[in-house]
Amino acid sequence: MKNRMRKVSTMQVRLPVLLFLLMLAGLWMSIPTAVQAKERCRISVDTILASRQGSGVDSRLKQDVSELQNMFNYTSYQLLSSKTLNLKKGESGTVSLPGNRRLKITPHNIRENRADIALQMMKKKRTVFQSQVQLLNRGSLFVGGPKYENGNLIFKISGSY
Amino acid sequence: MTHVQSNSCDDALLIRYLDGDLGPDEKKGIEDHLQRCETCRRQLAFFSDFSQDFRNHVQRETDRVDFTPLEKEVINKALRQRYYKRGPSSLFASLKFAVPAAAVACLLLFFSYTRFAVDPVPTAPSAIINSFTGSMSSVMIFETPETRQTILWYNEEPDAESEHHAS
Repeated sequence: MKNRMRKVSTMQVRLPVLLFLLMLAGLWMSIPTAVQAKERCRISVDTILASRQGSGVDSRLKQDVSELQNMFNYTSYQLLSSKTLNLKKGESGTVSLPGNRRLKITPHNIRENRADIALQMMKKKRTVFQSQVQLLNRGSLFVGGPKYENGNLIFKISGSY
Repeated sequence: MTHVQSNSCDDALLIRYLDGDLGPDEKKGIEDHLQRCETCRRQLAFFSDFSQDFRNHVQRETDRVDFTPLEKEVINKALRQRYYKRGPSSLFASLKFAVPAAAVACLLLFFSYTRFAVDPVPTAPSAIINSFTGSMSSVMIFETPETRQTILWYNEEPDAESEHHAS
């Protein structure tokens, strides 16, 4: 009986604390995303090899590639690598890509549901292109074209913040 | 009260005798009968042994039972009855945390849905390209018709390509 009383009193103390924490979480969730300061963003780069030799889509790419298949006449899509960067505003991260390529990514500003991101594609020491994009939260930009082995490379750059 | 015939054998009477349910006259009658009747003495001994075995068995089974859950159940029932006896005020008192908890849960559900649910039909392209510069032979920017995924397609300059093949 004593144990039971002790359990009841512990519950009585814990329940308001739990409710308070839940209310705090609710308040945090209710603040519009635009108001919340976002200082970091998570950017992932998936490297896909699209080719007309062979057939089959990598099981990890089925969701992404279904629409690309209607636009390109490639028969095979293989995921070569995946890399994720967790970057602060203004911080640069570099991803090594096949064919002596490197992609430098710098998020400049993160507001509402888009992030301003600078991309710089390099091949050896030469800059191939530079671009400024506004990437949708949980959206992707497909950058493709470079020839590699028996097909073309497609880089899927996704951001979430 | 019935009188026992001294020469009659009656199992029911023997059982009542064993249980101590007989009146003084019946008891005396059966005891007289038992002194003379070997069959009834044996029957009485059998009933006595059987009764003792049965009691022992019941005791053993009872000892095995854990009464703690039963005790808890009884306490819970008693507490619940106490709440009901106090009337609706105690019911509201017990709900004082449940109502805010339910409200917070609804709030969490609503905002998490609006915040994290993915729009099935996007109304804007996944990426807007503000600027693009570089040394390449051609560039195309387009988007997929359904999910509006932005695609940037470029062809590297031939010398860059040959450089790649050479390497």
